[in-house]
Amino acid sequence: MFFSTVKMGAAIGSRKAVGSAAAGNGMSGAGLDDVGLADTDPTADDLAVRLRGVTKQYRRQTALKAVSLTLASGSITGLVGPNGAGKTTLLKLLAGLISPTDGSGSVFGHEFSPHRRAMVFVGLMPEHPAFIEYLSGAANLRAFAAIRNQIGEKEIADALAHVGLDANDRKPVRAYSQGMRQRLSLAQAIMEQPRLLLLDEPANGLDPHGVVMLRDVVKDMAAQGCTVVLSSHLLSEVETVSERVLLIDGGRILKDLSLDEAGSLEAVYLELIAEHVR
Amino acid sequence: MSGLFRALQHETVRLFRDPRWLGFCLIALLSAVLASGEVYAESANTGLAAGAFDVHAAASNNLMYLGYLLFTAFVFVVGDTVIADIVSGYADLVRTRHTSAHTWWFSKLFALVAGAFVAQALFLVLCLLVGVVFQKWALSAVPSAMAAAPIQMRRMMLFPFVAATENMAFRQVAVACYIAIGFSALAGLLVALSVRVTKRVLPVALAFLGLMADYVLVKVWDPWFVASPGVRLMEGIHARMEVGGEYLPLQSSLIYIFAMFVIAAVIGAWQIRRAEL
Repeated sequence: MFFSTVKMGAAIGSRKAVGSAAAGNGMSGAGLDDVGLADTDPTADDLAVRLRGVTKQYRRQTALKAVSLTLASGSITGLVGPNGAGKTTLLKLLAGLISPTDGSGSVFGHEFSPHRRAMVFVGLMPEHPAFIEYLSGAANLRAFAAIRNQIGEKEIADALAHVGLDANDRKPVRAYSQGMRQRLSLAQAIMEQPRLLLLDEPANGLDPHGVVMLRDVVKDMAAQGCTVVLSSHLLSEVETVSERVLLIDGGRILKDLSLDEAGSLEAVYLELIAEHVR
Repeated sequence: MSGLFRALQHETVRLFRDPRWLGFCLIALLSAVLASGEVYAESANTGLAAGAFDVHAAASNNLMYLGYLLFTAFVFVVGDTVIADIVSGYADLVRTRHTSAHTWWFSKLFALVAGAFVAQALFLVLCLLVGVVFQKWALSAVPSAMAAAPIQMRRMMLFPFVAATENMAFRQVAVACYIAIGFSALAGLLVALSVRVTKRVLPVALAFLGLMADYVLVKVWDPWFVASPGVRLMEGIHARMEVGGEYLPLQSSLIYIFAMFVIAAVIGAWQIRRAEL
């Protein structure tokens, strides 16, 4: 294990503190500082992610607009929103693959800066995972693992077993089904025991057994102190696994809600998106 | 440093596992056979005995044709090394494991340089094999009668003048290295320029069109002679050849190629940063 286990109580406590917070977008409530999670917050040390007014502008499109957000260590947060809402951009920002155009933030205390590009303690499962097609699943993971050089064969085999794949299967990835590719992608994301696990549409192409496996993996990782952020169009899946959900549209966080307080996520989602469209 | 070393290793191994190298091998073999045919005809016409190294010497001196073919084949293999990863999403998985985007870019560039040297080594070996196996010529470091003959005795300008005392093995290995450096610089520039245009076919299309444009410009616009990448590559080999007195010195061509490589590295690093994978 490469990270210390964080007590879940503190994480859940932080979650409740931001349960009704909006994201500083002026649409539905207070910004970050207004809900007591500024630097002076006693639980601030347990924060995995802190974003302050982060904007991400592409050439002609603003993908994120002044997003403020905190995520507690060991928490599970769901991102939901329509296509193009900014979910993937937010995940890429947290992964260090892109930098904010404006605003500031940090991941585990590492501030965003023009030189901060990628986070070595992040596990990312992208929406469209790509592998070396002519290698087996295990060989692909070995190739990825060789870059950080933190884990060995045992960890790779464990990660594959965790997602229901066989480390001894020599079948090339090109022969994998969509579901198997998703499992392999999840395995590469978790194999190095990341402190922040980012999952972009992880349930895509998974069969019912795969969805159950995904739930188990997410909960296991969170139980070990890993902060999980997952983006999905499957509201029921997000509702089942997440403790907190961020509803995003147009680059803004429209609603930040704790699921034990919310009713039906679907009803809230449809109402908010409809309101935002109006 | 160990992170950079592992990145270099990762990208180099990936590049050499690419099945498209088979296509390069076929093109290289075709080029070697064509060059051996030229040497055979020259040998038959002049009555001068040829050697296996002459095949590589002739092919290397034919950069306007065989060289263009080989370069296009090389870019076909390595040109989309960055674009393909970005388009497929593989870059996301690799980049989160690197400490910086530049580490990733320089590991790509290193792999490309390694690929260029291996490609030229492969081509040299294929030329020798064709000379020895198909033409039954001797594999000797001593220059053949045809290689050492005065220019006037040759009907075709197949390969540059070779001093009778020269070691052909050393000479052709040096030529292969020189062309590998040139290929690295040119291919690196194409890769760097196409990073943000996510069309996988772009580098190889640029290579083909660029070489055609180079060929035409050399013919119709005299000042281009000094700037032409094709001429620079060829002139490096011609440098010791006294033909009409007009040639570009090897040193200036080396500086030209090295400068192009540095420019490619800088442009690539800048483009990768702007691309925000």
